[in-house]
Amino acid sequence: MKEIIKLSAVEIRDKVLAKELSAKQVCTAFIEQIKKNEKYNAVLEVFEDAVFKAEEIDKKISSGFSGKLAGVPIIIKDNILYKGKICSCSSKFLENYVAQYDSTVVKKLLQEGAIILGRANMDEFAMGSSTENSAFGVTHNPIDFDRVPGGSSGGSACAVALDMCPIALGTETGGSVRQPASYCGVYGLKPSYGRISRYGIVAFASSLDQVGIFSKNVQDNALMLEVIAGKDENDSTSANEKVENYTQELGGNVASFKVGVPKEILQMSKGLPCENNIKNFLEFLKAKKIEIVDVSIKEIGLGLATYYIIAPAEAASNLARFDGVKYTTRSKNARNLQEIYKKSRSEGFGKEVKRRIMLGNYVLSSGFYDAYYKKAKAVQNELIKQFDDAFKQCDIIVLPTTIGTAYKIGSKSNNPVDTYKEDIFTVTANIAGLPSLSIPFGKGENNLPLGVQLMAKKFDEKSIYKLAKFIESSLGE
Amino acid sequence: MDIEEIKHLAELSKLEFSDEELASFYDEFCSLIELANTVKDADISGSSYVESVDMSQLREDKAKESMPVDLLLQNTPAVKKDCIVVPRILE
Repeated sequence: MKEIIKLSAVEIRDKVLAKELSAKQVCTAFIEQIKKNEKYNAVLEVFEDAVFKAEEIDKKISSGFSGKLAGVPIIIKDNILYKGKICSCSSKFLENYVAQYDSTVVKKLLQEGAIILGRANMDEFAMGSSTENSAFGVTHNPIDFDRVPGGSSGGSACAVALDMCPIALGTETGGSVRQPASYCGVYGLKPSYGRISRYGIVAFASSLDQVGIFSKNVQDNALMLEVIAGKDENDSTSANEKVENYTQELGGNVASFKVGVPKEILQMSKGLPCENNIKNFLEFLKAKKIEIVDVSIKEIGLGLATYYIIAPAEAASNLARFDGVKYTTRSKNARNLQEIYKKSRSEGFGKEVKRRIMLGNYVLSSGFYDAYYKKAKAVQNELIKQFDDAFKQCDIIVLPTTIGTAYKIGSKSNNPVDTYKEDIFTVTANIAGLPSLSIPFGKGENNLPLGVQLMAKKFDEKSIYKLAKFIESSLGE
Repeated sequence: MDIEEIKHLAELSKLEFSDEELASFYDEFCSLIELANTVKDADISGSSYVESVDMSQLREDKAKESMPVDLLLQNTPAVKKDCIVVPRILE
């Protein structure tokens, strides 16, 4: 029999429901694996009641309970509220903040019998692409300890890659699930905007944020989306769109699928480490008799700059709530109300967070609002239109996930724009609100993993999973 | 963009920086603005942005049970008799 930590979420659930394994046994095995790999700093806290919760699930199963995630251990990013647990966003500001309610995703996980093992490290307030911006230390790449795992959901990606859990949740604003998935060699989904409730997720840029899913295979990813997707009355931006049985659709015929490649992307990839990999991927699809069509997203090159206007603008507004009055941290050096604001924020936030608040306030300030923010929103509209047109010619659009493989810790920290360029291929899915899955494909420098993205029309996660499953099966042949 | 503008932005952002931090911040900020300028200078004639809010997505205005006060105040740094304590504003 496979080692417990190597089992998929579906296998764990089936074995736990069949009583071949107990939820407690599973939970204990994964906690042991987390402890063995502490040096990677992927998990900030293992919840001490996890084993107790697993025992409760075992009892419930004995009385007839049968959840879609019965006994499946999950790790959540440290910006997802789980009642009674600390949710720090990897920030000194929220170091002692205790969640007062369950986020909708956590509620759904618990309803289906999942065991939440702990919270994963991240870039502070999800701002970053390397997990180097955590106030609690960098997370290391699971394949090469000297490199970054990507970010901002680097802890969640590393945890899945090192078998600390079969599935982990992250969040996405501009690539924070897909980019670390690519660096760590796992699957990472950013669903359509509105697919999953944001209730109880600490807001970064509300019009772009979505919960994302890390897994080691397509089926587990699809299963998780089935559980956590759907309209939520507590989030007015969650969409009233049918949630499909994604796992049942896997293995379907993809012979009629057309895959689009934006010519601008091939141009942008020229000379970058990802260039050969995306070409190899297209050859692989052709060899599997998938039709490839050329499409054009003329303004895709503006995606990055558009993102770095809209996201900081919303972040500056969202983070105004951290004022030293309501949320755990108040500077001991403050003598009046103005100083409470300034000193609490200056002492509590890290450098990257401050940088983005400043940039956000700049693009929103009087005299610049039209030139930057309003113009960026117009570019966003244009990009949405161009993707709509492109999807008239194809079912899936492919892009590289990252420009190359994971980079060395500390090698980019001094140059923010250099780090921001890491997001060049991922931000457009967020800007256009589209679903995109990064799948592990190919190897780059030093034999480190690379990923490619499969994007689809809004709310068509089903097609992505179908093609991803086909690719996964073909690669395993 | 000059250092005075950065100071003004810091004031708007309710953030404090040492002179040394300000100097390094200034250089970084200029390269960020340069990136943002590619959008400002982009020619996308024909596309515009109109703000719109879809009111149909709002839930029914129905009273629900509130969170208990002690739980609500659980994370507040200073509390006295169910109120948040702040320094005196009027002298």
